[in-house]
Amino acid sequence: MMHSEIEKAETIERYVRNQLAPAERQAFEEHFLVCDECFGKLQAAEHFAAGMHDAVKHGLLPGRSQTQGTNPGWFGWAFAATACIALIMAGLVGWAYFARMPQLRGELRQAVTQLKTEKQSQTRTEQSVPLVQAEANVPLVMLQASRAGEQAARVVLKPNDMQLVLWIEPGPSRYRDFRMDVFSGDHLVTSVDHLELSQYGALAAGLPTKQLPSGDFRITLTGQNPPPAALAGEYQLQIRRP
Amino acid sequence: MLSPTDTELVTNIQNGQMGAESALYEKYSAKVYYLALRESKSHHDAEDVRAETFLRVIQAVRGNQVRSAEALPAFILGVTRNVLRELYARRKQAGDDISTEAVHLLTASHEHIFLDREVQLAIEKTIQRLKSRERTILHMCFYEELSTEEIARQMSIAPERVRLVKSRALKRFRELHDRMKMRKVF
Repeated sequence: MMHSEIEKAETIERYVRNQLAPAERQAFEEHFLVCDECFGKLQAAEHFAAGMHDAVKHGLLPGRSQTQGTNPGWFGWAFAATACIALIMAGLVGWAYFARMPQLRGELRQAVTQLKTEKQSQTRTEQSVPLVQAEANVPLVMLQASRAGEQAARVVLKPNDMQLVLWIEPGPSRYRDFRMDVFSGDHLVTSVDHLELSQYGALAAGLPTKQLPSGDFRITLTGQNPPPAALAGEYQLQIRRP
Repeated sequence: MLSPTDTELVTNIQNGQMGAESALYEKYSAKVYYLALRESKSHHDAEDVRAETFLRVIQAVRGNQVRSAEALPAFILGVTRNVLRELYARRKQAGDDISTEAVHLLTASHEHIFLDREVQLAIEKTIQRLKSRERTILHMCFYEELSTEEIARQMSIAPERVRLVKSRALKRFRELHDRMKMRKVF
């Protein structure tokens, strides 16, 4: 008797269940008398079968009807889950159509009305409030590079001066685009970016005077474009307020 | 150490070599006991059958009544069957009218003779690891006693799948049971 034959014909299991024909049984008994491997498997199968019977009796191994009754298997669970999701989706769609949509439409109408009202009131305000008048006689100060040892440029700001224009002529430069930083001591007061040379070869930057109290200021001009950026000039400014 | 071959055993017994009969007993005793227990369903009877079987086998070997050494397993099996038959005959004479077939019908599962605490524990742990579908397959196999093909047909799966579930569960059980037996021994 070959092991492959025993394996294929499930001889051990059938022997345990007394399902072998007499000749087959005789042959297998003669085999396991000399084969320790098969005898070991046979012993295990006997214990296993006895244990399984005992497990059924004690409810540890439920039968098909019990299993189907209490545990529907993966297909059952998948079906139940799909049905639940479909029900929830249907509920959500119904709620959205019958309850949420009219509510949203109402909110939208209200928002549109409010927007129209606000627009109208804004238009009225714009019409009623006069435009801020352009400032006349803006003070302007021309700065010259301090490395030449020139005196700091001076300007006196009146209380009603809103803007101060700084005028710088940086001279021939490879830069098209500049940045101006205004320092009070080491503290950066304000900056103006993307200053471009005018047709006169000059840069003009308007600064709000409220940022500029009385005092001495150091102004740096940095060429930015085309890169790399580099310092193009440094200027001194003295502001006085009466 | 390798156990002696049947030819060596027969020759050694016939030559009166010391320990040869013990070696024969050691080689076949568990198997004869298993056969006797399976048939008689009684540990007490199985002990008696084993003792009587070996007595007769050794006498036959000593008296050179065994056809050939190769035929020794078949001879031992035949003697065991004869002793069992005589046991049933004695039972019948004593008024115990249960035949071999009737014994099989009454106790078809052999449950009471192959079940102990270690088996129960190992089975419990094995079942815990099984999926619901695998448990159903084992129920169909070991309780409903359906064939692999029938289980496969009813479960709409391949017979190989059924065989795989059974062999995996059996392997797991065997490992656990062997471990428990070892623990019991030590």
